[in-house]
Amino acid sequence: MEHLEKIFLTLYTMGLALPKAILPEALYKQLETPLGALIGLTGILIFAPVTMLFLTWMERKVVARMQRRYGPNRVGKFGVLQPFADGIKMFSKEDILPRAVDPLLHTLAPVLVVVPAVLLFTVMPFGKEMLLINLNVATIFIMAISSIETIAILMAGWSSRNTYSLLSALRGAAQVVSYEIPMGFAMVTVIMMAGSMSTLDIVNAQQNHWFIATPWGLLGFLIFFISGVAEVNRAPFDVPEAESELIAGFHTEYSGMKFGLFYMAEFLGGFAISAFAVTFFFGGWMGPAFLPSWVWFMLKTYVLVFVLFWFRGTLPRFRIDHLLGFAWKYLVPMALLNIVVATIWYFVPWYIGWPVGLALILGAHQALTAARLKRLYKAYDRPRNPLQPVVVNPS
Amino acid sequence: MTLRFADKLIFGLLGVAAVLLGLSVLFFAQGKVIAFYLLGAVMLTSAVGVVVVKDLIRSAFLLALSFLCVGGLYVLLQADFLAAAQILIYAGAVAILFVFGVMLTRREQDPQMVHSFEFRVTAAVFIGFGLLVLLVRAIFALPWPSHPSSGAVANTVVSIGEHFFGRYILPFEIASVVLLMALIGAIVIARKENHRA
Repeated sequence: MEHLEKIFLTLYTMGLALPKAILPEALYKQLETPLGALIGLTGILIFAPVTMLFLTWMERKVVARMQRRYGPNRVGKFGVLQPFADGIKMFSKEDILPRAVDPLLHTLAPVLVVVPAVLLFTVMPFGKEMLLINLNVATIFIMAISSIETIAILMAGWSSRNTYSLLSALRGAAQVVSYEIPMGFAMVTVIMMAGSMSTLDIVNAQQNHWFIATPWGLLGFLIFFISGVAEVNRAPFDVPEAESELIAGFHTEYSGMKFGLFYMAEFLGGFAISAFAVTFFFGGWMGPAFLPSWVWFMLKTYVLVFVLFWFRGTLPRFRIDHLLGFAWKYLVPMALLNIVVATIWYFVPWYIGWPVGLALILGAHQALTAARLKRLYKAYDRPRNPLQPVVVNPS
Repeated sequence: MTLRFADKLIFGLLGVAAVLLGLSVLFFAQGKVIAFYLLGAVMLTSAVGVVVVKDLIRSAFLLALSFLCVGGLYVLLQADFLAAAQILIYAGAVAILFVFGVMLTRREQDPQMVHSFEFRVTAAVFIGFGLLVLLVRAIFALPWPSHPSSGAVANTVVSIGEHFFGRYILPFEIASVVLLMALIGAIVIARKENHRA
């Protein structure tokens, strides 16, 4: 158990042992920190594509089961080698650059979309002593890095010189810019209660009880996860790549591995959102000691990843105006209220905090949805006397 | 259609700059100096590009690049909160809104200019010259330390927060009121067209 817990730390030390043996003592002293950083980065650069490969297989399998299909089952046992087959296919495809595109931006966009997705992994606490950088502005870093992806999406959509791509890019940008706000506010409550922006400190603050077990944590998690799903353009918020309307959205004009990079960014984004939701609300790598901490982290993250696929298999796509209205008229006010709830929770004992918090949350939910629900119920009202002519409301 | 020569050049230069940046920060004792000049060069080049490039969208993306480089300079100054905020607000939101606006308002022919060409040139020269004088004065008025202070603040976020809610509470509140006014103004302007008069 002990060595399982420390297995990655041991690998890291072994990686450093090689230069220590080769290099002279003085030079090694000087290069120890950068070499350690390089080893950590290498680990992440291996971990990210492997995660992506596994997630593609998992999504196809999970969604297939939900639709009463088998999913991939030809390549390898249970189709586990399917992602490798896909990868070989993507690498061997012709890289098509349509005549009308802006070649520079068209080539730059897939690069720009993957770099932030991988950078997010640097502040992810995978387990005890398994955080590459303990950044003291990690939460803001997460938001800043994920907002760069929008630039890449706009670049891809515009440089394709394709109306569908352009429409999709505009949709995507509007969506990400809107959903960034509730996501940030949901993080604010976590920062308030943990007293720090560093992911390590946030996990350590949940030593005794996870943040999900509080009224503000529950609401904050829901807001964070929903806006996170919207931010990485996954179903049911995948209007930028709505197949039935926009072919494939901003990556319509991409082929081969460039398309693969967009695919990769999407999956890594989904994984990162789940992992950060676990970090902020589910106690990160905390868990009973019979499993190593990194196993706990992965288990919790994969449960949330499964929820992502569950969304994809269950929910129909939002319409773009509903989607933006949902962010601005529901999530933003609820997230603002959540800050108040967190403040109350901080100052009162739990037996007052729970009822007051729940009452505030439910009351705000009722107030924000009352008008919409009334309209919905009205639409289902049947006329009392079926023989009388129905007066149709022109609005 | 393949990549043009200029595009390849830009790609190569950007790639070389990125690799050098990473290597210099990681491995060289004087890496910060090299990184500073690299970031500065990329930033100034892209800032000139914003003005020179004919393609509006490209110049908007170049603006985003120069914002990112400013964020990098903040990182070198160990102002990590400022760097993250810079990238989040300028590169992540302002640049995107620029691109958005350009994409939605693009027309094939030039829109009607309100002022004549001569007026605009004169105004630009005056404003540019005034800004230059201000900046140069500020540069000469500032006492530059001969050696950089080594006392880096460990947690900038805490001290920024303390300053905001302590000594600089008034400017902070005024700024938030101005922002609120801008927010309300934007909503009023946006709602105007389906207002029943």
